[in-house]
Amino acid sequence: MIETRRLSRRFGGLLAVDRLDIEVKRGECLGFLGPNGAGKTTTVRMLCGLLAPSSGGAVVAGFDVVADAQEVRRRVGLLTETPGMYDRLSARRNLSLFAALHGVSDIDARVQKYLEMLDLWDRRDDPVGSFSKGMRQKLAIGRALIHEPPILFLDEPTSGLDPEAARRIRTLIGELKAAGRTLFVCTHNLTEAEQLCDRVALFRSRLLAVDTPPGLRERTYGREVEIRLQGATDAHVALLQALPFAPEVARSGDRLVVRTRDPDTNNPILIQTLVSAGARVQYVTEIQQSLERIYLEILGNPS
Amino acid sequence: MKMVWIIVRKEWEEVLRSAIVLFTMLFTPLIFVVTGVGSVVATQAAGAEVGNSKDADEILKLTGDLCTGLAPSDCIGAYMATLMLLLFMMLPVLLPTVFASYSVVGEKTSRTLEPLLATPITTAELLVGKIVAAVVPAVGATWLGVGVYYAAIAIFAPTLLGAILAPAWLAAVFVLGPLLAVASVDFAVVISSKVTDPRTAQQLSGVVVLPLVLALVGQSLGLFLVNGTLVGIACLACLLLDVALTWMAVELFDREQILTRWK
Ligand SMILES: Nc1ncnc2c1ncn2[C@@H]1O[C@H](COP(=O)(O)OP(=O)(O)OP(=O)(O)O)[C@@H](O)[C@H]1O
Ligand SMILES: [Mg+2]
Repeated sequence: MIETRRLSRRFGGLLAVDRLDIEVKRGECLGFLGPNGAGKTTTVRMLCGLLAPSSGGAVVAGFDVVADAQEVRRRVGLLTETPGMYDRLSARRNLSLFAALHGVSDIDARVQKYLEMLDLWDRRDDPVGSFSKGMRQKLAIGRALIHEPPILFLDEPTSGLDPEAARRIRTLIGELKAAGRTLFVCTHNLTEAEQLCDRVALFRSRLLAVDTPPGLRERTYGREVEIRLQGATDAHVALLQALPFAPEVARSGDRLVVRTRDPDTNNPILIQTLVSAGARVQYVTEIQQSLERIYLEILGNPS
Repeated sequence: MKMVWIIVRKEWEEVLRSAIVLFTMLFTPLIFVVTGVGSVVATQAAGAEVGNSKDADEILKLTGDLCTGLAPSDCIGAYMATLMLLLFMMLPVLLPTVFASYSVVGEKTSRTLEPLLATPITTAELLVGKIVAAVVPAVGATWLGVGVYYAAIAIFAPTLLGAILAPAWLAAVFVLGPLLAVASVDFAVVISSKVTDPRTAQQLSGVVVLPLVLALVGQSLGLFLVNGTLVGIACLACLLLDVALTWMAVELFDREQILTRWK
């Protein structure tokens, strides 16, 4: 549904997006992660046909973002970084305006559907100027959805919201994904990316990595196992290191952290070795690196 | 066409809800009406004395066919009545820039332009919508003002009505007025696509008033009289200007610049 070819954008001397190659399949949710100023918003604007690439290009929903920008805009929904509502107009009017611009046939019913879905129906006739930040954000999502586009670009959908409001928006995004929409979500919230997205792209002007969250873990850290022994000693470490597949072993107190290339076949051998040597194994767990650690690791050493 | 109308409606709902805009659009014509009627009535009273003096011939020469069929004492009043109409012609130039600048500043501060540009609307549709939205109420307010002015003249100085109902003046109010309004808004748009700050744009677009001020000064100095030919030429020039400026506005209104500059 989204495919970019060496997509680049320059602002004067600044290369905001540098030869981005990425593909998002139909129904997939891609998390687009990167620090402030990484070029996420710039990328989204190019993919929505709002900003022309300086070089390279992209095809979104089957249309070229430069040559057929209008066709692209018909088929995508964009949640902009700032909600940008007409404050003097009511919630209902804000949505009906965009429904009209997208040529929705039964505007009233459509607007009602989304206001109800977003729990804003009771406030439908209030001017948006009187809305809280979370309500505006929900309304902005409604606006992005009003023409029921197959592809949605969400630029920081939960930034600045309280945990409860953020959770509700995440639930909503989860539902959109379940309904088969293709999602491109820019976010700084790693837990959110992990919860919602099939794949995560780490981006800072250039694409640094893109994979499923478990894939990223494995790629960055391999798979590590924590083995807790009663009275672990350096002798245990040496014992494991002597094994033919040469695992990396570190000990802190009673904790051994072991990294091997192929944990599925190697772990039973590790444990067997320890047990045969008389070690008292308390428990064995696979270590789940937080996405945050991976994020910091990859952004710290982009290689 | 449908898209244009959607924008026009939205602009009216949004901008006319601003008390300041509404007040300016209605109050400015009102000031013009009071000034105009006051000047005409005062001049006519003075004219009653002048008319009997030997200066009457002098005035008749200056006013040309404006005074044919009028008593010499009414002549100077008629002259003032038309001069005030020229003042009214400034309204269609000034009022739309008030509306347009509000519409731009509003769009800018509420950051609504990006979602708007992300819809399938074309640049031309968006622009024409904004232009029409600014021109129509401005022309309406002008006509309302002129209508009240006509009514007041009919009541306080009925003998002068003929002079201001001359075809040349009707054409000025009803044809040249809207054309001027379009030129004024177009000019504001062209400037604002070249200037970073929409406020500067509004001030620069005041330049369109200049020819009008010249006409006003010219007529009050007795250099020339506004007549049918002059109005005709002005209409034609203005029409050409409108076409050229609208084309330029659409060409220069770069979505990208507006996204990245109007912040
Ligand atoms: N219109 C513009 N003119 C000049 N530079 C720009 C423009 N828009 C963006 N940039 C620059 O491009 C870079 C990327 O900006 P962008 O807004 O895409 O980052 P981002 O990843 O969305 O950041 P954030 O997480 O803060 O939203 C920044 O250095 C920014 O200053
Ligand atoms: Mg951003």
